[in-house]
Amino acid sequence: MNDAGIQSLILAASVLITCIAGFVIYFVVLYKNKQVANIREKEQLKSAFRQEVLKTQIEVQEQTFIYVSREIHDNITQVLSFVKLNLGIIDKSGEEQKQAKIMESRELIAQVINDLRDLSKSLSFEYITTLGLVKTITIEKERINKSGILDVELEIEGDVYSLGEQRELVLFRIFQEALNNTLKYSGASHLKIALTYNPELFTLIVEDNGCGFVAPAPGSHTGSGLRNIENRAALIGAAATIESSPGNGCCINVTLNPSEQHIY
Amino acid sequence: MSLEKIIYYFVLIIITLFGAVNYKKLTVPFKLLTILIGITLISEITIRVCAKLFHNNLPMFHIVSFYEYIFYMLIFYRVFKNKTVKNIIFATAIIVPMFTVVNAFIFQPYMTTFPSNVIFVSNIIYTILTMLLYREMLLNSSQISLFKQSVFWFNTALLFFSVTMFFHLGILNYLIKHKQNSGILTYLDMVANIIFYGAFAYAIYLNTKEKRLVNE
Repeated sequence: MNDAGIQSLILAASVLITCIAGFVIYFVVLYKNKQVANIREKEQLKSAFRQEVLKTQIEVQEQTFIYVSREIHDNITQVLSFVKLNLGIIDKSGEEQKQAKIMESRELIAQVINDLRDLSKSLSFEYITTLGLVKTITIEKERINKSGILDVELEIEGDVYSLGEQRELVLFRIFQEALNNTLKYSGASHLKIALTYNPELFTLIVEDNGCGFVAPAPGSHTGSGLRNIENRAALIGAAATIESSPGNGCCINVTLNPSEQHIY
Repeated sequence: MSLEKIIYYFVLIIITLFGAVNYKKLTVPFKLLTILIGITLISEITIRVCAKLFHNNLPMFHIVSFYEYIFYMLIFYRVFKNKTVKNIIFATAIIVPMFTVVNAFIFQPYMTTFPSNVIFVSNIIYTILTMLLYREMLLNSSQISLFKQSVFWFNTALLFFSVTMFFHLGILNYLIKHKQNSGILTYLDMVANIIFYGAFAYAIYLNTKEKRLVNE
């Protein structure tokens, strides 16, 4: 190697080092862009999550209003009309009958007061956050059992822990959606709800013995109510599976890792 | 001893002491890096002593290239998350040291020849791994500023050092063969070493902070 050779080597070294420096600068810029894109994506996800939570709150409220209006129409108005009728014919009754009708009316009014108290409890979705998921589902179970439409069984396993307000609200909405589907379409006589609290896994199972249906394939656009359940579950980092076949009822299984970190 | 040599040793001593004092705060790869720098300091002193006493320090370069490669592979093994890359690192961590031993006895006898073959192969592997690490960093980008990430400084320092090493060896080989003065190259080598270990020092310093943040 002569002087020209060594000069070429030094030149090549300088070019290569400049290239490496350029590469590192390019990497820094690329990394910065990736960070900005990640922040933007995270913000979008957060915003979508907030919107979905708001939507869920509105849906829970709507559901509650439907229930309240049905209760007022089917139960309270009926009982109060009966009390009014009782009190209307009281003048024409004898003393003993009068006393009996007054007593009956008092009992009916006491029942109405109780029903109204129960209704007032369910008027706000905030009772989910104050009472927690287990208590809220227990109240729902008692309400359905009292109505006699369905025989609801609730099983709770493990030490109950909080899953966080937003996650419990979404889980409750999933439960409501599953319950609605059972009441509207399944013709089931029995509904089993199972809540399992393991330290690393929470499971919610809603299973009925109704007519069942052909379960839509994952990712298909049919069965928007069921897709809603899957999408909502994904939103809180949970996984929902829907198993059903004609004549074999339906089982909705939601699993969630409580310690998993989320964007919200 | 020249000023740049004194600064070089001083940098090595400071990093070793800082790493030792903050050893518990460091993550495993940077614990390994601290140990490697400590051993490098001892090796550098031994190389000088051998040169003075025996007028031959070439065997020391064979030993240094052997353990240095293993240490860098251990560091990379702990830094990488990709399993395929980890497996490749594991494989080369066995093959290259074996080649180092074979090379020291057959191709470049340890008593008479500088282990340029091993250094050449090692630096190619370091360069490839630093590139792969940049790729992995991009794929798993975090919200922490790149300049505050210890891995970035470690990787960048190693990339520059590995790339310049090829040319350093080439030019040094030419100068020695033509019995020309290699003083300027030794000077540049020292400066490059000071910058290289300075970047490692900053990486170790950042790593002590990173771990504290995680603990908090």
